[in-house]
Amino acid sequence: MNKKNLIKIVIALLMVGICVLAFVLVNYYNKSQVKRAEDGSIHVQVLVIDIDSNTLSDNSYSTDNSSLYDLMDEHYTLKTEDGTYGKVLLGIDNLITDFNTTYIAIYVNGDYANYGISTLQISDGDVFEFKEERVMW
Amino acid sequence: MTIKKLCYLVAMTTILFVQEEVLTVIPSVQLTFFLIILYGATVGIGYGSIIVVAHVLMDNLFMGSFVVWTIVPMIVGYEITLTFGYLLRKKNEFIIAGSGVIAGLIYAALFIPIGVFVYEQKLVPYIIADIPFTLVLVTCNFITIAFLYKPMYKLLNRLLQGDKYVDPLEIKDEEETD
Repeated sequence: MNKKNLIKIVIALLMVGICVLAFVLVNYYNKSQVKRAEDGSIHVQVLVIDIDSNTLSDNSYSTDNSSLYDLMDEHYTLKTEDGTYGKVLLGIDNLITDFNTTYIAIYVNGDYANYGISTLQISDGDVFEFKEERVMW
Repeated sequence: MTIKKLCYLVAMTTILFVQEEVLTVIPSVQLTFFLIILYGATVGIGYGSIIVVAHVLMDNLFMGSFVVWTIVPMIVGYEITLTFGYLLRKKNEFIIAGSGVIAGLIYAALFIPIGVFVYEQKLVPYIIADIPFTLVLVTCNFITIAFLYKPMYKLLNRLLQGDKYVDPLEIKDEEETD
């Protein structure tokens, strides 16, 4: 193996290591953002809203688990599909979307979520809105 | 433009499109930037732009994301990549691989305004969420270009030039240099 190939392999391995480290750090950062009540539990509010802005469901929950997907799966009938970046939410109970004309947007405390349902973490006091919206893309 | 060259351009476009769709299952892992740099180096910016535009339109039609705020950043990002490929085509493969890394970073940055202004996501959380996938993208670019560019550049030039082929890099075979 000549010197150039060896250098390429070393740089490639370094970059792969940096990628792995980045995923670990971002995962740690997301988990560190999770806030809990004094007793260690997490209290959240979940709203499900259809395309006509009708609130189909408005409930509050208390849980020890910081995963949004686990919380929703426990209390609702979810329809999901596996996507490139995790699960894609297609339906909650009777609210079903096809991802072509409408989809379910997730808002966390009024802000459009940066992650999908399988990656989002919940914090004490969070308000989650699952809104059916028209596809813009 | 000969029929033969047209057929090669079609094949190059097809390969670019198909590999992107096949590798969609693995986030950010793709040969797209490597291929665009290779195409810029071998067929130039003019024909390369035709391949890029065709690929972007087909990709967005296929994925159902045929909107201006997806198409425009993609075309701009890939055109910058194509230009890197053309300008640096005879340089050392480390320089070309480095340009692939920079092209990947520019491409990722072009979508930040879309996330912030179109999808109304907050800037800092968006960037933090995107960092790992951007790093995977640039790592993939570096690895594919560093290892595949030189042999593929010679092969593609041999195919495109046929009887008029002259080694573009004037580099001897690996056996002779060891």
